[in-house]
Amino acid sequence: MPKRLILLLSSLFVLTAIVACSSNSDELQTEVDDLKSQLAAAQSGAGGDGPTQAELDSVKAELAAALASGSAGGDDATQPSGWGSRLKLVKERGKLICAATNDSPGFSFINETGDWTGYGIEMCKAYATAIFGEYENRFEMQAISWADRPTVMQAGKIDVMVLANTQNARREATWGNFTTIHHYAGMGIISRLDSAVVADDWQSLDGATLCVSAGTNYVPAAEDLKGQYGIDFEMVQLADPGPAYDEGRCDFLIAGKADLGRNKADYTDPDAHVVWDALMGKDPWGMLVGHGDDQWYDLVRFVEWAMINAEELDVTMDNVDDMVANSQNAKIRRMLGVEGEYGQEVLGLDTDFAYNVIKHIGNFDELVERFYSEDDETRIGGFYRPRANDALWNEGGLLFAPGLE
Amino acid sequence: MAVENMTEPKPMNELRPEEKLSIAGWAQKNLFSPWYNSVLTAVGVILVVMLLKEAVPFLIDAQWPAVTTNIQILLVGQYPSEELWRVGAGVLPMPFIVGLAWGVWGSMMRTFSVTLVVSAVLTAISSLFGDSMSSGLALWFTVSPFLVLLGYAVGRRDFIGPRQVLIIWFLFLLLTLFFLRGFGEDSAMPHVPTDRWGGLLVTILIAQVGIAVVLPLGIVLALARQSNLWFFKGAAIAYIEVLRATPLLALLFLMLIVSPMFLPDVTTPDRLMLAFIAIVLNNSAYMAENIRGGLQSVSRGQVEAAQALGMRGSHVTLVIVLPQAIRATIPAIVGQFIILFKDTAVIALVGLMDLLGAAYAIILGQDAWRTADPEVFLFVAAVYWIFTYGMSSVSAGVEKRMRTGAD
Repeated sequence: MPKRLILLLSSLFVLTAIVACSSNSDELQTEVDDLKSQLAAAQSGAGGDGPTQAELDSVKAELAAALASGSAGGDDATQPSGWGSRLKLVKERGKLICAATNDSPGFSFINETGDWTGYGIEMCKAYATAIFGEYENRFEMQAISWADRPTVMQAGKIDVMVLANTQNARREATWGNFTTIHHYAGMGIISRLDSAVVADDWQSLDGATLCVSAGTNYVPAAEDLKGQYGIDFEMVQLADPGPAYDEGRCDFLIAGKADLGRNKADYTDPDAHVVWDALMGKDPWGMLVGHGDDQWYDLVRFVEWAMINAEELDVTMDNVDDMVANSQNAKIRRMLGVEGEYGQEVLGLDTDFAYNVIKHIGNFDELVERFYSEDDETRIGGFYRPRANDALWNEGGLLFAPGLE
Repeated sequence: MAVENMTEPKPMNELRPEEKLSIAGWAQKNLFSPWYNSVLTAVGVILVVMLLKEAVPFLIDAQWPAVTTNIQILLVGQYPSEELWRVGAGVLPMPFIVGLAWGVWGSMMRTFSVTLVVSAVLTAISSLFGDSMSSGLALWFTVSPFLVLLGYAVGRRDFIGPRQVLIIWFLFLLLTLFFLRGFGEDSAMPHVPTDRWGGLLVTILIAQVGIAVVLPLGIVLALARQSNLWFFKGAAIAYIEVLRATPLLALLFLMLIVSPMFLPDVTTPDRLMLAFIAIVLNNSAYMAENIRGGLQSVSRGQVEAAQALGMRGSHVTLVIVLPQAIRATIPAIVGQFIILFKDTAVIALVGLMDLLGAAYAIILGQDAWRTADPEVFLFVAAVYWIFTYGMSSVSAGVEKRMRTGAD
């Protein structure tokens, strides 16, 4: 008997809970509809013995309030639902939350005093600066692991994922939106000079032996080569192929192109190897934001684009104040917010957001140089990575950023 | 005397008089007779020599700066540099309490205490040879051996008993947590969120707080499982069987990645707390089974005798059964503590920075040390070994004491 009673009570409880949760939005909807019809009635009857102007205003205010609290942003009727919800959340929280792994040299890592460092972390600061005008105590880093990425994006607790993420269709579809592409990476090949393999000659790979890291996307890419060039080679899949390649077990090795140069320096005889010029596969890197809030997506993209444009226009951390005061270049004046509003406000940004970002973080070139410069003395933590495809469009690269015009 | 079936009237070591052997005699007896032992000895020596031939040059050439320059993140993770004094001050009572326990319990804590003192002294000495360790940290390692000795001196006096030591330990643990966590933004000790705690500090804290929570929880669960009330019995069985059958890593992924999806938007969950809960859930299920084994080993006669004396049910359990059960399972309990200590390393896999996580962050994230993985992992292994060896020596001491019947 008591067993049944408990079962009955608990199922009742669960039912009530479900109803309570689901009815929330319905109630709001009826409330809004109610207010809307009141407003319509009031407006049609205005002038006669209908409600006074004051009554009308109060209904209008109620309507606006109900709308604002109901749909997560949406105070602008022309924007799709979800617009502005993330920015609202960030502002309520007073802090931007970025997720990163702590194992990417130059991009996101932890220095000897325990501080987050790297390109990704500087970008998180840049987004915080664009929103709040400063980044001190305005951003928070959350450590995640590579395997966490899809679930972290689905959980939606973080605002931006500042990872060395490669963009592809499946991730775009299931994880979220990739924002500005800041690094055009790809796979590369390093080969031994004492082997029959000749640099950048695909046919010379026929009959050779490849070392490749097991379980990565390098393996299918290597398979693709066979069909593409009509060649055949032996594949040795290892968890860490570097040492095996160094000992001469293989003739060539496939890995991320940016890594090959510094791997070469670790080999017993660095001069016995050559890094191919060829770039296999396209791995564009971009920060990630969740699906469903176009304002947030645009905001994040335009911050990084503004930094790229600042490089193009030679606006740096040091000369930005001078530019605000003296520049006659309309593009610069618009970007820095000297000449009014070009949509920044609808994106949720201050007109001078780009000024704040450049003042505190610097332009794109300054940021990249901080972690990937050729100069061992000034470089922090990272390694030398030539700009190559990451150069501006007018310097032979692929960076072509929309401005505020 | 709880154990009834003791066959030896006296402990083993008093039964057989100790033989005094010369070194040659000892070697003759243990290494070379009979003939096949000579072969095994020879093979063993060759293996050791081969190992040393590789290991010694490696240890000399090793890139130890990978460890020494990063000693801060290995020890405290991302705890803010300007607040480090709080870690030093907050953790300072720990060596004192270890010394206190040594003084009170005597020999069974000796190896643990001595191991800690020796490693602290070695660390302090090693800091003299490099300028990478901050002076505050070096000072801490210099002071802590003296605190162990001070604790020992106090513990030797009779005015403090085992129970008081446990209470002091628990209170200091709470105090340490408050100290590390801090208070408001404007206070002298600003709030340091737990996602900035890391390194050995987190490993030791999770292990200590875990031990303090897991044991009582395990006892409650074990008692509930023995209960006659269907609800408690069912709940305990469900808890134990579900959590014991779930891998810790799966539980961690559930807690850290899936559970935030159900929490309201504005709160960001405390990831360290979630990981801690996962470890406690998992370990308490095992602990409950250890203790249930102890409960079942207490003979029925004990209960009947207590009932015959007119004791109430709960009284019988608390005063008669439980003390005997726990006593019988101490080795298993300490074994579970050691497992818990080592289990903490799994949290590195969900992105938290415990000692192992800090090691990963160094060799993967810092480009300068990308080839220094052997050095960093050796350091981590050594630190784990120091603590687990200390703990298992405590366990051995307890068993020895139980065998001799001294209390």
